[in-house]
Amino acid sequence: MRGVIKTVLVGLAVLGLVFTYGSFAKAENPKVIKLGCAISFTGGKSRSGKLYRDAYDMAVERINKSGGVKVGKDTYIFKIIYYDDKSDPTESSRLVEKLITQDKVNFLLGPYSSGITIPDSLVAMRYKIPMIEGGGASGKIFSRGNKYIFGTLPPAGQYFKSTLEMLKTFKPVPKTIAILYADDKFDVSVAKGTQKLAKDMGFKVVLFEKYAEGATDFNSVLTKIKSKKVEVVLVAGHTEESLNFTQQAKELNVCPKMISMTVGPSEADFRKSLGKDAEYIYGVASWSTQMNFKGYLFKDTQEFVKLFKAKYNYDPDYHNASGIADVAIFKDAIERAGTLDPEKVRDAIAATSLDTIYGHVEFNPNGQIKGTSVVLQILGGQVYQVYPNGVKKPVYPVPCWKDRK
Amino acid sequence: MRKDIRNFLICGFILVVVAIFPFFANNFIIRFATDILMFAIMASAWNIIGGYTGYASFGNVVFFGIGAYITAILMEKAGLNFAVAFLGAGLGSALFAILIGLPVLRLRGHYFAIATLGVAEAMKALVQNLEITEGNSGIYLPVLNLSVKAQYYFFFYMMLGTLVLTLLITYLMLNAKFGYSLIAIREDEDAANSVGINTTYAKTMAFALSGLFTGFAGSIYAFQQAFIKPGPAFTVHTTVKMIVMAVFGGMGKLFGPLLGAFSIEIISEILSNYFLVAHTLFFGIVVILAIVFTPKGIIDLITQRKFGIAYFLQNIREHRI
Repeated sequence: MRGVIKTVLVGLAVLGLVFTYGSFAKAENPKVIKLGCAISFTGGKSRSGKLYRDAYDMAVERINKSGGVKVGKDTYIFKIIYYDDKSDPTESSRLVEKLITQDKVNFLLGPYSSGITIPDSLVAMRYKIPMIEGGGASGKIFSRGNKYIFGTLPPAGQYFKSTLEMLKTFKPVPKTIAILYADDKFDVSVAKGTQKLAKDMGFKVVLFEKYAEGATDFNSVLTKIKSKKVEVVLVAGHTEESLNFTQQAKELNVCPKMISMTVGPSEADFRKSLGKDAEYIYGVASWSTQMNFKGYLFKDTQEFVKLFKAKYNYDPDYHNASGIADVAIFKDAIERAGTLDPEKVRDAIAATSLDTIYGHVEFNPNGQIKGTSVVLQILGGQVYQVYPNGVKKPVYPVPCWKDRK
Repeated sequence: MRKDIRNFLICGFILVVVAIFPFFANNFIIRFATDILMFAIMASAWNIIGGYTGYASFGNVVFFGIGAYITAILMEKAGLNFAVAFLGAGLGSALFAILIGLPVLRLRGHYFAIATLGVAEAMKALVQNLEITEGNSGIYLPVLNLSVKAQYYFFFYMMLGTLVLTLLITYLMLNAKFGYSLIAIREDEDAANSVGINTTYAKTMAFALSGLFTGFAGSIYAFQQAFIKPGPAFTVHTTVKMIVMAVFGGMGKLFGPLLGAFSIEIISEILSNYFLVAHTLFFGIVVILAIVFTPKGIIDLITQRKFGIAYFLQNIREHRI
């Protein structure tokens, strides 16, 4: 019988651990807005996870130092509660539940990668707590009518949207478009999205061709472009392919009115390799350190880049910028809502129209950021933003190879 | 006989405590307990093939992934309800275990371990490229249309029920001829064969049972997550976790894996609560210490009631570490 008692006692002690576990809730400071974030500190996603943490921390520090968040008459400061999701979606969604039910966070910041964001966003939806994420671009996150998830990475399918919009401003508006794309996942999404957008906007996609990643020979496709007299050529691929395509276009003297490429034009190497032939080529980018947007937390992008580099000793990329925007949106939305009520703040986030160092932020009804990509063009050996609100006016139609000096 | 009754009463008591526990816990604790139960199911299922039959499967996650994906496809694409999808997931995984087991179970030792590892990776690649599974971008499942609290109860009791079923079947199996033939295979397969045990049949059935319960766990998991992706669903980490839990708790013991799942999850949670990054390091140390000092699992510690240094030294001597 003593054995039984002992066993039962051990069992109870162990269960007791479970019961008491977590009942030590942290003392609450009434002036703190708690942001919860389960993100990868360890595991396969930890590198990118760090980019977001650095950005979140920097934004929060900046806000807290410069007056905090004004909610009605009160001033609050932000505090982020982090957990390590070990790069595992099961762990992550469980930790989001912990953040909500145990740490009683007010709002949620997203994890890194679409695969982890989706289960997390479903938890946010279950508890009706808004989450802003900067680390998941997949359209899947926003395809289920989840009202509580907002994302600041533009969808791949919208990449060429600004380009198409710019085409509409030209006179005469070009009618025919060719889309060429590499067969990797990202470029396929770009191409399919662009095809749909172009059709919806009344363009005719006369050529829609896939090529193998790393392809070197574009002769046959260039011949098709020439014979079909395509006006605009959009290429979704990689630097090497962009180089080959341009060189062969010149050799065959294929002169569409415009050539635009996702990757290449913004890189210094691309311009150096092609020399004069790089002239007039269009490009797109969602964010780069070269840009200069008026900021919300920072004066502008350039000030942010400088401060970020001084603080973390590496160049920020779009992950960091997106993370900064996430926190900025929370501050702005909470102040506009004038309350910490999750439902009202959610509505305020949905109505966001904010200038950040990441660009102008507005959300689509599904919660994903409206495509913020800008159109670039190489003019005089330099890359300039030409649309929207370009530094220079776009040159269109571009002069044919033969007519260039 | 008295001992049996005693054990039965203890089990019943613990089961009742666990069953009423959700009514006293907050949502996160219930969710946490649900995850522990899930791993307890998977570690116990691994125990059938790895612990009792002696075939260390390093690809058991394949059943988990298949269970999850069958559930997703049946519910999302075919519009069936969860009950059908749940059964389909378990049976589908068991069927897969039989089909894959027939060739793979001919291999022994390391070769079997590597082959099963390969099966899981191949299945991941297949799921990543199929149209019906929506490829690498993952697939949604319908969301359970209940209140938040009710959802937690539902998943908790589904997992609990499945765990009880797993342990019950394992218990019955151990007391039947089938269980003895598995243990005979583990101790010496050639000898087992020569005394007239149909080893192919026994091994395949053990593998199928393991697949069945792991598939059930995968099914409930998928419905709870409401979104699954090939990468995480077929990750080798899950297999490693099952094995570590089974070994930590006690391989080849009925309650070993359950105890392992429970303690591993609690330790890992406490560690990551206090050490945001270094927890993996400490966790590794705990596991290594446990394997070195109690290779028979912590269940051995509890049932033998030997906590002295002599016990640990004996373990080290016996296992020539």
